[in-house]
Amino acid sequence: MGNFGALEIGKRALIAQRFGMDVTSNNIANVNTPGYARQRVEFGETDPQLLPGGKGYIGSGVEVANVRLFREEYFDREIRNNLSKKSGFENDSSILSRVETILKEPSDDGIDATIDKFFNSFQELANQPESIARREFALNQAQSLVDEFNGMSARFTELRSQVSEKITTSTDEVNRIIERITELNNKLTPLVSLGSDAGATIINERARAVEQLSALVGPVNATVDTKGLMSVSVNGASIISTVIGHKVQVSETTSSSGERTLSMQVISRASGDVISKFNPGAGEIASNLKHYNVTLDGNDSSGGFSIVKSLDELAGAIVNKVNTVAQTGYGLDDVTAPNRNIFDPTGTTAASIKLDPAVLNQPRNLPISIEAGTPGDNTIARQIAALADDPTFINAQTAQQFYANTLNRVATAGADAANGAKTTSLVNDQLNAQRESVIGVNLDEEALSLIRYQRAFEAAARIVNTTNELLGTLINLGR
Amino acid sequence: MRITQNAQALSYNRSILELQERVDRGQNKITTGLNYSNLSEQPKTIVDIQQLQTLVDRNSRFITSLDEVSNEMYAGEFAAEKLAEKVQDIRQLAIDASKHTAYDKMPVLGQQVFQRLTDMVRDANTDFGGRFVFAGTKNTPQSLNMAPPSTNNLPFELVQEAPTPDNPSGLRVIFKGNTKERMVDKSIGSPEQINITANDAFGGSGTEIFDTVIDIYNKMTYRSDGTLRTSDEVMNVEDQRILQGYVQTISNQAERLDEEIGRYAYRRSRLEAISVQLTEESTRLKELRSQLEDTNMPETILQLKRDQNAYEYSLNVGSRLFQTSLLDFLR
Repeated sequence: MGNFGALEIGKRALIAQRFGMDVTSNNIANVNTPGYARQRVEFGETDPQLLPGGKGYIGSGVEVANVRLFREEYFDREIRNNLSKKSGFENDSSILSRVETILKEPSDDGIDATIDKFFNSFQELANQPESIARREFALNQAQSLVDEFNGMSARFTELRSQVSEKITTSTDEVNRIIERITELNNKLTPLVSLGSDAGATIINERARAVEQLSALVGPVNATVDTKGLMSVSVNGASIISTVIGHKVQVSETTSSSGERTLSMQVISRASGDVISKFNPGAGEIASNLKHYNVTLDGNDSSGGFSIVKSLDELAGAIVNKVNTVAQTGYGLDDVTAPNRNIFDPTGTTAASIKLDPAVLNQPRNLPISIEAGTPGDNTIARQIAALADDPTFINAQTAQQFYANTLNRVATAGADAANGAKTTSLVNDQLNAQRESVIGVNLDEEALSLIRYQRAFEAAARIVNTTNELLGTLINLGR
Repeated sequence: MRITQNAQALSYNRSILELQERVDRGQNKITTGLNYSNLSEQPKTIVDIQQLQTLVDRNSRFITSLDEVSNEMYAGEFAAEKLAEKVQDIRQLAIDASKHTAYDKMPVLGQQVFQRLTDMVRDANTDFGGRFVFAGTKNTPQSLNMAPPSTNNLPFELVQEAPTPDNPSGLRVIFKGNTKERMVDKSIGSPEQINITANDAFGGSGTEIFDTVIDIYNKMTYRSDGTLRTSDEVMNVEDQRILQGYVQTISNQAERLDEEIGRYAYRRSRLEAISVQLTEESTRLKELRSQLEDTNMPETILQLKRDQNAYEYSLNVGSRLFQTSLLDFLR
């Protein structure tokens, strides 16, 4: 080995330590990047040179053997699974909070209180059945009840529409992520030959994308082939096969009974043909689909809990029960049986309930006496007031018991969702902390690395400098 | 375990958020005065509150109703008592007339009876809030049976018809209402009558007592042949015997009226007692609801203070936790 050999070794050392500092700088720069996995330079000796005369080998310096990526698939998978549950619970909690807000409970002006005021007004009317003022008041309370049901129904319809929009937006996001993962797989392909961690930055970004996907569609089955390319399926439906990514779409079907249901399919990005059904197992989209198809669907036939259906049933029971009693009554001016309703019998849902035109703004027509020409008779008014305590009013319960049970189901579902969100958030933090302990950046550690590389760099520079002086001495020998 | 900057931040962030949530909940409890602000915080407790509220509402429905009818029943009772006083007066006048054989002012007594009869009719037409108290369920002017010889829209009317041998004055009290009961529910499925019906109070179809008074008036004012008595005329023995019969009749009717007033007063008193019981029950129910629903201020304030302290210390420690790393000491 000649004098230039030492220069070469010095140069290699400078390059290697410089590279180490670059990787360390990148780690420090990404200290707060979510999901970032730290990297570490692994050095190796370059091929040794044979000593003259074949008497042995001498080292020829250092090179960067590998950039190690500290990714932990176990934690990635656990975090993805937990994240899908977490986002589902959080979405449930958010929607059920909206439901609670619409229900306005516990308060003194929710539908419970309005129903109570309605029956109270008939109790008060029973004390003065001939009073026009009390008849007006009872009609006003009936109208308030109608307004409350109608308003609540409109707000639930609006919420359902917003949930539908969220599903569409999330589906677009899923397609964007599928496209992104496919693109990253494509970028990784040429790096495959360089080693498993060669595309560390790309792998990090892909891991982040898969996490985002899990939050939207639930646990994903992400498999990496021997070339490091990832395929993804959800609940058995393949959405990415290495460099080929499909699309998911949402479609709505309406049954003969008027039940509108949203469902999802995987379609070919190239042909647009439906490849398979797509059923997100958990995550935000599954949560939104559940609320759209069940919780907020008045025509739901799944047997799950639907707040809209419960309100419809309650409104329908009020219409039918009150009308059945009212039909036997007489208004102030009736001489023959009017067979008159208080609520329009064609409106038996929260959205369609309304006062019958025969009594609307016509208090004298309110049929509350049991016989004609007896304005002081309060039999029907009392019977209507007594419906408040009718144990067979709806599903073998009073109206208020039924509503209390409905509230209980909303509250329990909301509490479950809130608890679930809290628990999964805690698990998420713990898993992230554990993963961070492996993949995360420790600034002290990086600072030490920086010192190491800096000192090594300085030493290598000293080799170059010393070698340079030696060469200078040699060159000047002949003068 | 290897600790990284982000691992520290994650743990710290969670603690800070939890503390913020606790402080927020405490502040919310104090400002609203309520233990729970939404359904999902404590589903079971909130449903319990809802059920207690249902019971309170139901009680208040009955209490309002009972208190209101109580006033109406007072009015009916008062009118019946006034009417009963008149009947007693008439009975006394009739007794006086039948006992004094030499009494020579019989037409004057007759006039006094007539005066009380008109007073009785006036009392029978008593109304409360526009509702005639003795007219059953036909208790408004528009609903009365206005067939001739009716001339006004009151339930009881003293009319003058053609004289007959049995009724030489031709006077008659007609009743234009009905004898139906008006009811109130004092609890679930438990109705109670709130009016005095004309037949219960006055007998027959609602005018029997008035007929007796007219008989007394006729006997004091007219002779057996239907001619008017003179002012100094003495009643004969036969008329006195008949008058004594009327005294017996009106005594029986007065007794029945008194009994009816007594029953009515007792019923009103019972309804008032039920109203008081319901009010007491509601008070207890409200106390129970309050225990579940209302914030325990001293406890909440102390807890809030503890949470605020923890939050402030946590912020203080956090600011130092992330202050330095080795990088700060490198030159």
